[in-house]
Parts: sequence; structure tokens; C-alpha cells
Amino acid sequence: MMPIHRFLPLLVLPLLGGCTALQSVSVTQIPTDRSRPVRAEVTNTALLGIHFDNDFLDDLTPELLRQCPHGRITGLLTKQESALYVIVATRRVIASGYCVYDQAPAAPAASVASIVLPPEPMPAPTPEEH
Amino acid sequence: MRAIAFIGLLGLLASGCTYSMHEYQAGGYAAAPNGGPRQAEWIHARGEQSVILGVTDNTDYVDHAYADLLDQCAGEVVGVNTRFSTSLGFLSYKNVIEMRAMCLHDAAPAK
Repeated sequence: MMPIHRFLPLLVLPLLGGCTALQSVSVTQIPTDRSRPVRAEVTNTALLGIHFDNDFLDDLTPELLRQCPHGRITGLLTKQESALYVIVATRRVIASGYCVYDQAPAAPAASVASIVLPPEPMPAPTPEEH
Repeated sequence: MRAIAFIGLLGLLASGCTYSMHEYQAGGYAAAPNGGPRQAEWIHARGEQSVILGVTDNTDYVDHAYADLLDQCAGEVVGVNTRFSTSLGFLSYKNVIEMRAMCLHDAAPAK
């Protein structure tokens, strides 16, 4: 019978590596002009995963706006992830996108009717339809 | 009897037949004005991450899927549909992110 303490490093080592999990992801429409990337990240660390508020998120938007003060931020990829390192839990939100300066702000947004949509993939016909 | 139940449970777990959908998001259908009609084309990107015993230290597969989506379209990308799911296997699981969107480019002039 092997003593259990011989296996302890095998059990503990993976935990030290941490477990990161994606909680949420979102993407907004992506512009043609991708020459001005913007990125902001906020984190919140707590012992035993006990967080007392969600105020760390409040810094995300000002940081993005600071990098694009007179433009429009779009193509925004937002990831919310959590990481657990033994007894320390970290929440992290990462937002990256593009700052766009519109040329003609007076023009209305294009309607769906002005976009030629691609054909949707048709479902396979059922035997009754033959 | 107990051994048979154990083997049956093990076989069920090993088959990896469980899937979990975490999130589906669709949006961004307001194209920026550019003056003329445009042609849309479906583009698709997928990122995967295999995780064994729950140990992983990043979510880079999402960034890779996003970069792949950008590489497929030099123009504007609208109508981004994002699906985040997990397929479960034996002592492991696979995170999957799928992005499906429309790439807009200027329509060819009518002859």
C-alpha cells in the first residue's frame, strides 16, 4: 500500500497552475478601419472568492474612452473570466476594440434594405418533399 | 452487480456525450453608411480549448477565434453571432467559441 503523501504533489501541482474559466464573451460589429486599437482590462482579486462588490467594472469604460476621446469604439471583444489559484480568486474583464472616426456624421445609418444579404443555407429536403 | 454499475457509469462518462451551452449572443446589425449597396458574405470562426482535470490558465482561444474572424474580412463585419459552449468528456472538457458574422464589401457595379 503506497502512502498517500507520495501522491500529494501530483494532486497539488495542478492546483498551483490555476484554473481559468471563461464566464462570458461578446463581440460588437467590426469596422473596416482597424488602425487604432484600444484595450482595457480590470481585475478584482479576493481571498476564498469572497467579493464584496462589483465596482472594479466601473473603471473599464473610462479607460476605453480615454483611449478614444473623440471617436466611436466598435469591434469590441469583451471577455469576462475568472481564475482560481488555491484560495485566491480573481475576476477579470478584458475589452479590446477599435477607435473609429466617422467621416460623415450627418448621414443616417444604412438600413438593412441597402445590404444585399447572402442566401441562407437551405435545410436538406425531407423524403416527403421528393 | 456493483462492478457492472461502475463500468456502465464509466462508459457513460467516457463517451463524452454531454454538451453545455453557456451563452449565445447576436447583435450589431446597424452597418455604417458608405453610400452604396453592399454585398454580404457569411464568415465563420471557431476556437477550441481542451481542458484536462479542469486545469488551464488562459482563455486565448477566444482571441484566436476573433483574429480568425478579422482575417477573413477586410471590410466591415456586422451581425456577429457568438456561441460559447462546452462539450464534456472523461475527466476533461472542451471549451468551444463560435463566431458567425456577415462580411460587407462593395457590391459589383451592375452591367
